[in-house]
Amino acid sequence: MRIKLLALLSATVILFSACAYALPEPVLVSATPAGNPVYTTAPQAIPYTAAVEYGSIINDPEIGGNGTIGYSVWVGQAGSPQNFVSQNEATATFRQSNAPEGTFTISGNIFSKRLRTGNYSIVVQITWQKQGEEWNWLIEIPFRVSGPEPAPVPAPRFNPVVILPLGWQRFPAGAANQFPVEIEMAQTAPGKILKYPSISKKLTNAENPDMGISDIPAWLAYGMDWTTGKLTGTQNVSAGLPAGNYYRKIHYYWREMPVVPNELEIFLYDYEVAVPFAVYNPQDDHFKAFRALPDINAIPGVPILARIFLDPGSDTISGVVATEDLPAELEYVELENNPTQKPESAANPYVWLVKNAKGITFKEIRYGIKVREGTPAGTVITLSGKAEILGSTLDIGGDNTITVSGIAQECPMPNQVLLGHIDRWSRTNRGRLAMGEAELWDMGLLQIIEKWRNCIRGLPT
Amino acid sequence: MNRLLAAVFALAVISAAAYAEEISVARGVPSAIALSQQFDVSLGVALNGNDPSGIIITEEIPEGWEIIGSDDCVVNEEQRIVKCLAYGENITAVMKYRLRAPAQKPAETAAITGTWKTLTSEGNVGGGALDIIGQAQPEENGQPPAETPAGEDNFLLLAGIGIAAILLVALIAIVLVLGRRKKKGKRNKKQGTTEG
Repeated sequence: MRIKLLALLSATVILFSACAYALPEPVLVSATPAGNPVYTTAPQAIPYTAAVEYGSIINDPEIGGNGTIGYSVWVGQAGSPQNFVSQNEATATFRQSNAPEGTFTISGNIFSKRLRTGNYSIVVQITWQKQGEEWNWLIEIPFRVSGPEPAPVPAPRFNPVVILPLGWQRFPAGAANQFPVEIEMAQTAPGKILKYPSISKKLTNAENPDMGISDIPAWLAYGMDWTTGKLTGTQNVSAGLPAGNYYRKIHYYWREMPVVPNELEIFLYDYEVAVPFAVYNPQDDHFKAFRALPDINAIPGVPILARIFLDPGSDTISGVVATEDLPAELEYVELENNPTQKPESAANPYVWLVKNAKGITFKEIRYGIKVREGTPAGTVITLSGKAEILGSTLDIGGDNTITVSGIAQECPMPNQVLLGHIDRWSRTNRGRLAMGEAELWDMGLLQIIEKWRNCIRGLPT
Repeated sequence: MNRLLAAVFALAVISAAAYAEEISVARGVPSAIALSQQFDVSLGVALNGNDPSGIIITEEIPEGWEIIGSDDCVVNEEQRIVKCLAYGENITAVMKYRLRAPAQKPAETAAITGTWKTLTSEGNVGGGALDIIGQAQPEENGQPPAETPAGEDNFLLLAGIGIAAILLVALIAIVLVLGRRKKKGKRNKKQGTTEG
């Protein structure tokens, strides 16, 4: 009995010894600024130093040995060091010395540019890498900022401008084509120098704005002068790209710094430009109007976005009157901050007049609609619209039916139901749906959330 | 904290003044990113007086930048997409996902392509690009110890466990011996009581 007890205790201790390993911690030996000092909100450089002892890491039996130490510095929210401030609020410079052994000292300046009143930390992230593994520690040096609201970030003095192409480029479908693209960073006011320009790019299809398109059938080959930000390239249009209206979107990011370098006056900006081009069917390259509706079944009471596109094709058309005569099951919804033009009429039928003496280009009109409450699930509602040009009237083509959803019809919507939909949306996006389970994409989920919130708020929907 | 962060993002949005959209979404990245560094990318929504019930933000991550994961967002590693959903009263709460910078400095600055959409509107995410600038290159520690064979690490661990086990056995032996003596004493006392 006693031997059994002894063996059990020994095993417990052995297990405990194996589990009791604690990750070593770097130690902040000294730091400045000390004592959580208060600075004003005026732009200023705040010098700092942090002396760190990390011998416990080097000598640790588990992770120590021949590894590499690295670090980075940023300004974060006090107590939430991973919540760093934006680059236009504060940036950090740093240098380091590695002596004596097992210690290093980081020093530099925090450039407080637009920090508002609040508690912040100079955050030093220490990274230890060994044999492909990595460990991170955060050290915080707190400080406070107090004072009047900082000045707004100055307006940019550079802006990307499309030099080429001039307007829409149009190509027949089924043939490979290309056209030159040139974008400059135009300086709109003197006194600043462009620094670190960069871009991201993507291709979108005007008729299917929610659908992502691969770059492969229409790739942009480009080079960029990283000092002037000038982009020169070729937009390729492969024979396989289907007929449609496309935008090559190029999102610029850049910094502007004064002629006399001053870290306190370096700010980050971004702006997107779009290069439009069309691939047309030569047998049908004339004016047409078509509608795009979200690819979802509509929940009654929840607004959805409808778009009408006016495509002149190769015709020169100075004016179009587009009319939507909504059926009884649908209600018009005024969009807030609609980037496209509003209808001329305030009641059904809704009418838009688009005109341009030189000839209209591809044009989008947006408006909101919602299915009236009480419309039975499964009802298929048909839209009918007309587009008139001088001498002829066409039906608005494209999407023309809305099917009423059978889910999320009633209030209250149990939280579990909402969470189930969010889970399904999540798994749809991760490609983790169960066999036979219906997909739920973004607009479908946003509709359900709108219904859920309306139910909670007791709003008539 | 949320108010402060909202202010942070409001400022970032001012920086992108050319985007005067009704709702704005700003991305925050650290001002300096080191090679192989793990860091959070934050996304903040400024409603600017609008009242959408939900918003979905889609971020496309450039090649070479590893997606570590997210507690707030959905990650599709194959498509290099991070999708974040915000809704209800917490629609302006900051959402985060975690990336790791490339091990070698890319030839050019990388940029995340971000878009947001509500039921009836859409726009681009403004804010930071992924710049590896002013970086701290990981350096060999001051005087790196000699290469430590992997076996030596295990030896140290096993030696520690062995010593702990020996100490324990010794402790138990002492306890047992003392316990026997005490028991003996008790028995004597009991006997004494009986006798008394």
